[in-house]
Amino acid sequence: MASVVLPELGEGIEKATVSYWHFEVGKEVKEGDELVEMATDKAVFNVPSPITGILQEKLVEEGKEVKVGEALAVIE
Amino acid sequence: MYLSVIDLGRVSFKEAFWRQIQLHREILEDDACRSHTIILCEHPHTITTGKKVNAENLLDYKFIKDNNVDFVVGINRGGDITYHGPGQLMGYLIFDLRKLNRNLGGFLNKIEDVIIKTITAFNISTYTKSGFRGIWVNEQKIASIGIGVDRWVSLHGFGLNVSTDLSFFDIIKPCGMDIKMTSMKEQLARQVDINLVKEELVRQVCDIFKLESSREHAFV
Repeated sequence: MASVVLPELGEGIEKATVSYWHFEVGKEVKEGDELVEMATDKAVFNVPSPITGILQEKLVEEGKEVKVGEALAVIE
Repeated sequence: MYLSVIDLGRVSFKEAFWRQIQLHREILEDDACRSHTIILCEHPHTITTGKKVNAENLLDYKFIKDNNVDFVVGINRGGDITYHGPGQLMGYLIFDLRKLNRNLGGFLNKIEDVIIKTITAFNISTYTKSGFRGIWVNEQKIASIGIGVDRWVSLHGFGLNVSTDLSFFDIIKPCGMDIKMTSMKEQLARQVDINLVKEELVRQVCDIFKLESSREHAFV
């Protein structure tokens, strides 16, 4: 099981908003697949899946903010 | 590392975007790539939006339709709705952030520095505003920034109003905010040669990102 967290994004960026989930719960994702699109006020980027597995749970809804290091999803 | 400079002149948003996608793919597929790229261009009258389209920020759809303004929605960049057109210098940055310590925040700060120092070289005092995007002059916005990052390689960039016809911003709510836009021409009350702005911009990118300009690709 792996927890997908919002990675360090460098100086001055402490949080980002979930803008779009690319996969539904229950679907298989492969290591490196773009799992979720995040947005800050100046940038849009994707967080990839760290492992191959089934997306068990999305922990944050679209439109909600997450801090760096916080969990976004669980993959098993 | 080198800075490859591609000057496309006046091209459609779609053509510049296609060029970005090609370069993005080349950088991703070539681990040994030793250069970042900036595409410089101007667009014909164009309205673009980020992924989230807020219809109420488009104030005059009839004007867009009647004046044959290009309308491109759902771009994978930060930011809301904006206008691009002749006299606005677009800088599209295809940078490999894996070679910049994956420091997205630092990358964005440096882009702001590049724009500020470029405009300052023309004797206009600019600043960033806490909580607001872009670069400002006398409480008016002169440049907008919107970046996309895919697998740690950036896309999109900024638009700097050099001699933009500012009346076109009246058809939208720029960046979804009640703000007034300005240009270098308006601030200086004289015409500004966009080619001089391009030269200064490239100098500042090289200086701030510690890159060497790749002459063989410059202004092709």
